[in-house]
Amino acid sequence: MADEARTLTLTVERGKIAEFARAIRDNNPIYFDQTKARAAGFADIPVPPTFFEVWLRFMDFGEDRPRPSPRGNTGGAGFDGGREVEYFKPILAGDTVTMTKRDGGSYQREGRRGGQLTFKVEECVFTNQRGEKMLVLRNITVSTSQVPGER
Amino acid sequence: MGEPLHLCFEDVAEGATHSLEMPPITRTAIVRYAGASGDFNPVHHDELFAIRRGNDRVFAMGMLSAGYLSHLVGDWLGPGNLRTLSFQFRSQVWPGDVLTCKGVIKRKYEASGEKRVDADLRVENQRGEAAIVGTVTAALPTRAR
Repeated sequence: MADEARTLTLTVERGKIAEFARAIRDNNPIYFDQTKARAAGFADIPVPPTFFEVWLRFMDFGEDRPRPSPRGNTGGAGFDGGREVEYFKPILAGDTVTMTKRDGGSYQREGRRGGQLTFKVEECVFTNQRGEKMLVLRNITVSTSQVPGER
Repeated sequence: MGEPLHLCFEDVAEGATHSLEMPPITRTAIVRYAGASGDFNPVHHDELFAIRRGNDRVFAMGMLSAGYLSHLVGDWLGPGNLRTLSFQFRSQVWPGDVLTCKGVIKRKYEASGEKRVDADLRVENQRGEAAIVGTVTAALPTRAR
C-alpha cells in the first residue's frame, strides 16, 4: 500500500444525480431538468458540489462491511475529518470521469481533549473523457495516536 | 428551501449572510444518503453495530451535512461558480438533530480575471453547536454581462 495510485472510472448518469440531489434535499431544478440546466448555462445536468463522494465510496465499499478496526467508534479506519475541494470544470451528466487516488501524506496535531491526532490525506484528481482536470479533492481522515505496543 | 438567488457580484456586501434550516435528521434520510453516495459504513445504518462501537445509536455521515451545506452554497452563490470548498467535521449528527447551514461573506476581490467572494461556512445543530465549519470561494457574474 505504498505510494500506489488507484483509479476508478464511472459514467455519470442523470438518475444518479437526481437521487443524490434528493438525498441532500437540494431541490434546485438544474439537477432534475436538462432544460433548466441549459438555461442556467450548463451543457447538460451538472452534479451537486459534493457528488465526488460517489467515486470515493464506490471504491471503498466493494464489500458489505469495512474491515473491522480495533479503535475508534466508526466502522472504518478512523473519523472522517473533512474535505478540501478545488473545482476546475463542472462535471455533467454523460461525462466519463476517472478518479485517481494517491496517498497525500499525513500530519499530526494535538487534539482538543489532549492526545495526538493523526490526519491522513488522500489526494484525488478527477479527469473527464478528454483528459481535462475537473476537480481535485483532498480527503482527510483522523485517527487517535496508537498506544505504544498496540496494533 | 429557497429558490436559487442568482447573485451578482454587485449585489454582495462583505458581512452579508445567508442561512438554510433543514428538516430534522431521520434514519430514513441517513439511509437515503447511504444509497445515493454509496457510503455503507454500518455505523450509519446498523444500530447494533453502531452501539458495539461505543455510540448511543446510528449517526449521520458527515457528508450528509456537508451536502446540506453545499445546497446552501449552491442556492446562494451558484453551484457552477464554486472555485474551492473546504470543510472540517466538528461533532457527530444524530437522528432528531435539526441542522442550520449558515454563510457569511468575508471578502470581495478580483483574482485570475474573476470577481470573487470568500465566505465562512458553518452547520450547527439545534443547540448551536458546530457540526461543520468551512470556507468557500466563488466567482460571481457581474450585472454588465
